[in-house]
Amino acid sequence: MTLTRMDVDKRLAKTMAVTFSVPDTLISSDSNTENLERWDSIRHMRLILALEDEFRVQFSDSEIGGLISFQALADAINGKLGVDSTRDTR
Amino acid sequence: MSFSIPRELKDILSRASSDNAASIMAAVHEIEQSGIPLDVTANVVVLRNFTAEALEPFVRYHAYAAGLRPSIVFGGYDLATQDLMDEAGPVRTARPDLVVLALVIENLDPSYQMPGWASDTVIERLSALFDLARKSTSAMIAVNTLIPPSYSELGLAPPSGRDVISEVMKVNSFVKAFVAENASRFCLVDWERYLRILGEEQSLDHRYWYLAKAPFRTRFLDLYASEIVRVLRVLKGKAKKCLILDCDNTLWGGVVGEDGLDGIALDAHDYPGRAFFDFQCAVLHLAERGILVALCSKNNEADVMEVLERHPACLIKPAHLAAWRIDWNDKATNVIALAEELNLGLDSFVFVDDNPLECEQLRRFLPDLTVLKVPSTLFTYPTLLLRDGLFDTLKVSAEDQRRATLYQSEARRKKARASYRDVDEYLATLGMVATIHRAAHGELGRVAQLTQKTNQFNVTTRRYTEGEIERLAAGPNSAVYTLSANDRFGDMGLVGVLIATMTEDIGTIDTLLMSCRVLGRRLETTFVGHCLKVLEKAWGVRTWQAEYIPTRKNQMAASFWNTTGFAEVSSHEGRTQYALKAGNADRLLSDFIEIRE
Repeated sequence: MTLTRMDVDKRLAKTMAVTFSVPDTLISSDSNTENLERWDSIRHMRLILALEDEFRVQFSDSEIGGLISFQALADAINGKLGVDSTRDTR
Repeated sequence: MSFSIPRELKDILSRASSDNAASIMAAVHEIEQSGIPLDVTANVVVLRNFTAEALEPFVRYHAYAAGLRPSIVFGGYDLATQDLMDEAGPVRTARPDLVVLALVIENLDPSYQMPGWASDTVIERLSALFDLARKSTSAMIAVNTLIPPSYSELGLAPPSGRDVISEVMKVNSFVKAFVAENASRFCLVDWERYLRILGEEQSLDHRYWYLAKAPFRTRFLDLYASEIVRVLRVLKGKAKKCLILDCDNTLWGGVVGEDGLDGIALDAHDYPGRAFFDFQCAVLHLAERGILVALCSKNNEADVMEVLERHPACLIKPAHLAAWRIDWNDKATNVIALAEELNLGLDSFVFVDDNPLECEQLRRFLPDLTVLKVPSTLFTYPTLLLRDGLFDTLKVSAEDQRRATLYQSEARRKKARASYRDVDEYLATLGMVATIHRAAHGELGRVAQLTQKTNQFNVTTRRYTEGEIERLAAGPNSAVYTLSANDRFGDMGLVGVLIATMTEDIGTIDTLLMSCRVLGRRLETTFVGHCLKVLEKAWGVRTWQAEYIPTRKNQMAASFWNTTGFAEVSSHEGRTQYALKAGNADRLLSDFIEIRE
């Protein structure tokens, strides 16, 4: 079964919610380190480790510092998994 | 009455996988939202010199799996020394059960790995830190071995003895020897061994080490956390005490009733006999450190005993067994009978059986029992009992090493008892001697172990580390007494602990616990009576206070203070305070029991 962008979004949101210990409803595609209080540097590290296990991908050392929004993470994961990453303007 | 891990919790835990941090965090998140009750808390303080926070969800996960409610506090980054000295720091305020010193070598010595580097500075620093830790807390302290580099700076040339790998090994030898000498206060989490189990690829994250001084990957964090929780499990009295084994296809391959003594698979050479041989060897190691071994199988008893006595490759002999039920009754009934005979709660037992149906039934009927199925991958069977550390102890005492003998003389006592008309007549013939004195230095470890392990006859169930016991034993206003007993059937060993404290002329019984196998022969009242008498004289006590704090397992001690003449003073939610005027101790002594000091 090929992964769709929606699958990635869903699993990403779920992983963010459990990593930050917040309700699922608090995570949206607009979430970033600015508007999500619990997204601090320690939890960012946990999130990266969790996402790498969840999607079986590896982020590079130079990449990690920039993955500070839902969008950036989704794009990076889609890119690594070969999921079509062009986002339609819903 | 008895403690078990809620099914709901087990279901959530089983959905997580040890190689997926996301699944571990999801399980922890779900458990914490669910409000599943867990009444035993475990407090951990991690003092570290690297970014260790990724460890937290893994410790939480394994704590829940052990039925513990965890609290984890991290000290400041690379502030272990300051945190230990800080009067307002977590070591003082978080009431830790366990202090984890988590130290990487890179931050212990800035010149690590530079040309000419030697390990002396690291050993000095660790030595000072361990001493400081010992003085700063009475909690158990976990220390780690260090991870040597994977590649030698000498390349293929043979180690010089001064090369980095050899030098790190010297540090590790120091750490291991230190822990072995101070096992009452320190325990080892062996990082170097984790590397051996997992390999560098699965253990170390060089990328995050450089980015944020966070060196470990998921599998390593999982293994590290699981061993931290194993320590907590022992400290909280949740370690297992008895192993019950099925026989056919569990102790040997095949069915002895059909294949006969010579037909079963059990030998030191061939497959699959060697797997069973190695499993038996692992069982013997457990027996050596005091785990009780019992058999429960559907066989003719004579067939099984013939194997144990006569099969040349059968390592387990009848003398290793504390009890057995070899008949055609259903196993749940027999397991309950074994629990009664050995005076242990079902949650102290681990049952091993090859039959999936029997395993499932036992799990369903006896949810407190831990049931392990013989793996179909037989090559993993020999390490089955060691991997999860169900039977961990932090220190092996002389008492542990002869426990099976103790239980066997108990069985002989029970047989003798059956032939007397009443209990008093029987007790009078036992020739009981109670040795009661202030805990000697060599007994402190056993005393701490008993406070950690005794669940049933334990009026307050206060768990103490050896450090805390040492302090209570040495304090001017506190006393720790031990009871050792023997009779004509044998030595029962150290079986009772009483801890008393004093404020002005009021004495308080902080702890009274007895090993269950010696109850019902007036030893408990004699023990209390003698301690009260001695302390009234030594301390000038005029009034005694005692307490009963109910847990799920200490029902049998609920009426103890009433029956010994203490009067109830107040009671709230089952927690009851009692009092007794001085001068009543003589009534508690017994004619059948000779007291020695």
